[in-house]
Amino acid sequence: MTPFRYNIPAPLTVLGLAALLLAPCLGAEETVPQPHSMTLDKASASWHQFRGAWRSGYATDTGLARSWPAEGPKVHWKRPLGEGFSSLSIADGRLFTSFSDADQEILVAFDTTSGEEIWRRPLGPKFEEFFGNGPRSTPTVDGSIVYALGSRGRLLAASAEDGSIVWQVDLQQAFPITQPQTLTPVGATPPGPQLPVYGYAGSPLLVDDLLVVETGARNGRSFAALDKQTGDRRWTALDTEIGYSSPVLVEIDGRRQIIALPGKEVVALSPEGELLWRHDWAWTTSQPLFVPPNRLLVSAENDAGALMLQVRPQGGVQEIWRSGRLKNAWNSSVRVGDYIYGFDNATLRCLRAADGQLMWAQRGLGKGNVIHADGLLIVLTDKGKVVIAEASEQGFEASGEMQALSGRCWTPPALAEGILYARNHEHLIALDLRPRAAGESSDAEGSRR
Amino acid sequence: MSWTPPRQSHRWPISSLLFMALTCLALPGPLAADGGITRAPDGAESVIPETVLPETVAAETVIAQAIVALGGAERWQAIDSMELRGDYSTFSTTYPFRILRQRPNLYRFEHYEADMQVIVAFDGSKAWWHNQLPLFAGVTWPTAPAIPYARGFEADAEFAGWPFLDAAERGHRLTSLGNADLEGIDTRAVEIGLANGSVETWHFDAATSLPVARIARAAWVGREVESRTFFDDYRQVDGVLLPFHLEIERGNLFAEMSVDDAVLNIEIPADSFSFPRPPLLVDLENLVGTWQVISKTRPMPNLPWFESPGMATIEADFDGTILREKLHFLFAGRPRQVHRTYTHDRFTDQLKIVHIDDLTHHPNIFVGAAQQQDGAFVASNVESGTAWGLGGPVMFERQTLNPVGKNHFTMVWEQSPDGEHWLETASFDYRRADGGTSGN
Repeated sequence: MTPFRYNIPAPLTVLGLAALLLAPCLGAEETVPQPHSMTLDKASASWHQFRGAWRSGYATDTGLARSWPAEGPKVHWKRPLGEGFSSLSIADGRLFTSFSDADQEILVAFDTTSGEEIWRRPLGPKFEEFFGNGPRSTPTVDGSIVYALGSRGRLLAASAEDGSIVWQVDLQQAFPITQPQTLTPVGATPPGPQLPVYGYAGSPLLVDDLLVVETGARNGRSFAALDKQTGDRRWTALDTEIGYSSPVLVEIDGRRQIIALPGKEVVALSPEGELLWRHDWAWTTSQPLFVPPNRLLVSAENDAGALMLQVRPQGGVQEIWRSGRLKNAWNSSVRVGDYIYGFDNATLRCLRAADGQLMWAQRGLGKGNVIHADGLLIVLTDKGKVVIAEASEQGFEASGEMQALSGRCWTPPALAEGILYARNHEHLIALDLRPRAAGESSDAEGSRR
Repeated sequence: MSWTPPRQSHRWPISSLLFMALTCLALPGPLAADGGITRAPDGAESVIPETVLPETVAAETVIAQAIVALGGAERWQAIDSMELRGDYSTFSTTYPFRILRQRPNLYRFEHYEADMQVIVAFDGSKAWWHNQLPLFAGVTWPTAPAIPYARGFEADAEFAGWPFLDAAERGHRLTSLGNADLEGIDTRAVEIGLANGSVETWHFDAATSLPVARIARAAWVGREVESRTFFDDYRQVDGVLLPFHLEIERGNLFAEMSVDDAVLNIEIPADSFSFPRPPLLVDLENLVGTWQVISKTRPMPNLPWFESPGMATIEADFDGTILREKLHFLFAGRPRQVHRTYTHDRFTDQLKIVHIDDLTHHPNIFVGAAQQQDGAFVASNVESGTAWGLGGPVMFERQTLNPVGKNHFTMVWEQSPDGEHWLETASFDYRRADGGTSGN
């Protein structure tokens, strides 16, 4: 019995010819992303925080292999790692992440060349939760200091060199959550300061000399900016239910805005903590995506879909389009040129950023996280397969795949200097995505499985 | 290059996009959706089908062609049951699954979600599930799901999962939605209005006539969401085609099912589909019936025993989850009534008897462990806090059901001032009055 396969309709010749003539009007593919209006220069555009330099899933790396041999890219190294969804941040030859062992959460630094552990620092008691245990937040690196947030609210500024503590703040104590949350699990609400249902998940955001965190406290203290050198409180803002995504810093019409997704809305704060605008949205764990020069894409699971907002120069936002075809869950979309690529549940889709037009849909990858660099889409599926394809609105043509990890892989990968880093609840792996020299094997020396 | 292509590669050449745009302009109505986009600020839009082509085929014709493609009506009619086994993935973890189906719509689906076993079933008239996930039932015993879930399970229970097999006989309504482009697949779409009120859109491959997708609304974690099921990898089993690979996108759930083994016309135990009774009540199932009762009572410890005839009826409700007894007898020459319920307290895993009589008008709760070694069930109110206070001192009570045969059992009531020393106050001898069965 021959397995049934879908038939793909053949292009209609006449209309195809007409379309070719009209193609320039529809916009040529742009594989190199436009520069973001951000303060980072290229030298610092590493993957030093959650989802990269601009929190957009984009790495500036170039010269990546366009296809892979059968065995996949070379394994730079692979090592054991504990539970957690914390992603990876890379700076100055070090990789920072957090995980949990049997009792506690741990901030850890590895050597990106060897995979050897350099130091570790406790980050608070272990957090256990239905979908998976361990820390959620990703460390943010700022030169000599790495900032990390444990699931139970311990915010740590540690020396990137040796892990020694520069300062620390317990968010649960400093900004207690005293009101019941919408997503309270079945059972009695515990008295006193509460823990977010899924733990503190947002990654700290650097804004000039400030470190901005979402506290989930109410009464004007849902967001807090701390002095990044001392941890002293500089400002607090908003009265919103805690969210599980991370704030993003963008610049629109010359004005910098901190975009965040607390509760069921999109909010924008100035670097001084002033509310610039807010707009109703849906509960989500995915990231807002900046679409220069002045648009923001937000997406949420279930029936919420995607919403493209345009920030008005005079203030406020305008809805540009909505689509039921892009429902990010724990995975966020990326923008490559004029197109958005992201997961709609288990279907990878390409939408035109201008108007939300669906360009293509690709099933067979399961759920996954997508990032991009050098015109390539890099997908880490929820079961640990890494797949690459040229980013194109014409379709998804995979040019390489590798079963890099197994089990539940919901953490976005990171890419820096040609090396892709990915983790699950057991392992951390580094894959060399640069073209191989002749005769190189896929399995590097010193892998520690 | 060793890349193995995924199961589908759906993409739109520019020509298709242009054609879609022209078609959408030409066709009014809800099916000419422009790629799922809405510009209105509110409301969830219909996202399927992508677009509609001008040609239409009658729904009955589409269904007839599908059944032929699946092996033909005659072969399908010869199938009364099936068992499917394989792997099922949700929350990115994979476990074995088993599905049992029997005509007309008996269904049992055993699988795992987030490392916990889940059983979903439909007994032909109602659904039940055993779902420990905190997002759902969150308990360790079978329950009836909320109505929106139950409606979905009833739809899933259609034989082979396909409501179009015997649509007319089963009271389902078919409506052609025309030809459609389902994300790159040229399909014929048929709306199926199920007899229970659910509405599903089915897509059949225009070239092979095989079902490729089912789009429905479904309950998911406290809300109703779009549910999309995709079928592929059809293989022949005893002359019919079955999909050996399914993908389900429901809200934020993604599930993938790969069938390893399909057996048709398999003998399935009848109780596979019925609601599992609480274990302690399974042991008491022989209580159900009408009984002639000889009661032996005495109003005070030093008075003689008084023996009189009585009558009891015991009925089971909620699929055997509760037994309700009404007992009539004479107590010291006066008519007495006792109403009792027998349940299995799942939290404490104990037998719980709630006893109310027309003397005390007090709900007296007796709690006991599982069946004793001698076959008796013993329950007391020592721990329940319902013992009668005699103006100060408390008098505990205990009730013992002695070996429960099909046609005969006894019950003994005792009292105790301390919960340790017991004095018999009444006994009841039950003999079946409704014909009963052979044996004891």
